[in-house]
Amino acid sequence: MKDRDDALNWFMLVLRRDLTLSFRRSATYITPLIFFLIVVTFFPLALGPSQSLLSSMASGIIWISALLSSLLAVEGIFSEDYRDGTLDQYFVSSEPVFVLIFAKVLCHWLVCGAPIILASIISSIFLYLPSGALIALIISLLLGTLFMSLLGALGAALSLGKSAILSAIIVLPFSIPTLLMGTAIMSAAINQQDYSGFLLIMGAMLAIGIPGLCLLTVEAILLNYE
Amino acid sequence: MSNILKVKNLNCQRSGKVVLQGLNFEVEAGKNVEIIGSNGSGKTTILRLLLGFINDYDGDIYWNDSEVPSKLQEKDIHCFYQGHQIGIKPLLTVYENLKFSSSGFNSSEEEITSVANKVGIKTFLNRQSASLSAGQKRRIAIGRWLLKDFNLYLIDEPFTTLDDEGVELIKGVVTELNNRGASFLITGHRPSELNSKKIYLEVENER
Repeated sequence: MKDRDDALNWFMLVLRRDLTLSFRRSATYITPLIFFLIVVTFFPLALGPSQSLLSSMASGIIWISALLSSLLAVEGIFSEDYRDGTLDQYFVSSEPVFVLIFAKVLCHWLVCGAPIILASIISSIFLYLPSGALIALIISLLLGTLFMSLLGALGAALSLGKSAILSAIIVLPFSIPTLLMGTAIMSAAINQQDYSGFLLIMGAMLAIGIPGLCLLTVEAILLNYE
Repeated sequence: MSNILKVKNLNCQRSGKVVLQGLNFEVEAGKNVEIIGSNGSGKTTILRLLLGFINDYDGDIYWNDSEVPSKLQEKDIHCFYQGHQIGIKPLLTVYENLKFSSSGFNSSEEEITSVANKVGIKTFLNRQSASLSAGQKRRIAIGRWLLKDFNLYLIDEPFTTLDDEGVELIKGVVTELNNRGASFLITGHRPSELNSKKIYLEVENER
């Protein structure tokens, strides 16, 4: 019981610490949000104001913009802690490293993924996304962006101390299943079909991804120490 | 007296260069060992190797009087590591830097204030660490040593950037922690006045 309380305290501490640092460094959450809004705005400007065209492309535009935006800040998940020795101290402490990684991933999602979901609601209006598909968009992005944060953490761990763009390049090919599932959910929702099967698959990806990708991330960080 | 750590015939190469050759030493519980050497002599490598960050080495490491060599992670030993970079976040206050550390997360506000008082940083507990001098940041790092009881402290060059008062502070803190049963393995460029066994490393090109 004490171990469980300690692990929970440890999780809350890392989450609080990372959230505090993120909100004191406003670029962490503003940059992905602005990037998302700019990319989404480019499409009506480039394709023209045709309602039918934008409506048919809306889910794809939002999903691709969300994936790219959520990858913008992944490099920062570990880089500063790696450079200033904090990560060393956390890894040597007897507290569970898995909990540390998950707390950092969750913080990245809260700071980058959650605002993008809110912005996607606004962008769905000027992209003429059918209102019946809005709930599907929110739920699919909720699962998808969290999965992207997990993948992003792995990419960031593999590219520690190297170029920032490398983590995005590592992660992008692995984001294809998430993109396919997300757009499949949206197509089904727009055509008023049942999309619960796709949601379950995304949920299963996340359920496997949380322990699996967090453990892989721990190993990837240790590889950098060798 | 029991040994918390015993190193036997340790050899290590990094990028094809010999960094450590036939190194032997022991750290007794409640005692200190200082590893002294110039830049590139392998001081940091020893610490990182003991922590399990470097696995490519020959030789045996015994923890807690064990007769079987093992990794630190396989033993129930609480270690505190402080490398060259001391992990002080400029955007956090002094209090937050103590609280959000691996040793301070279970500490109460009273405990943190008491430790801050002991290491001489109580007056700026609520100040952002960005405005502190390098020596004052070192004092936050020393405060972290006191927030939780560890068996072994592995500290890389702790006297860097400290004034005479800071050096005296470290001596006092180390003695206090020794009395609680903790051991220190410290590195440095020259021997300190700490009550410790000194081990001198040769520079690589002299080997």
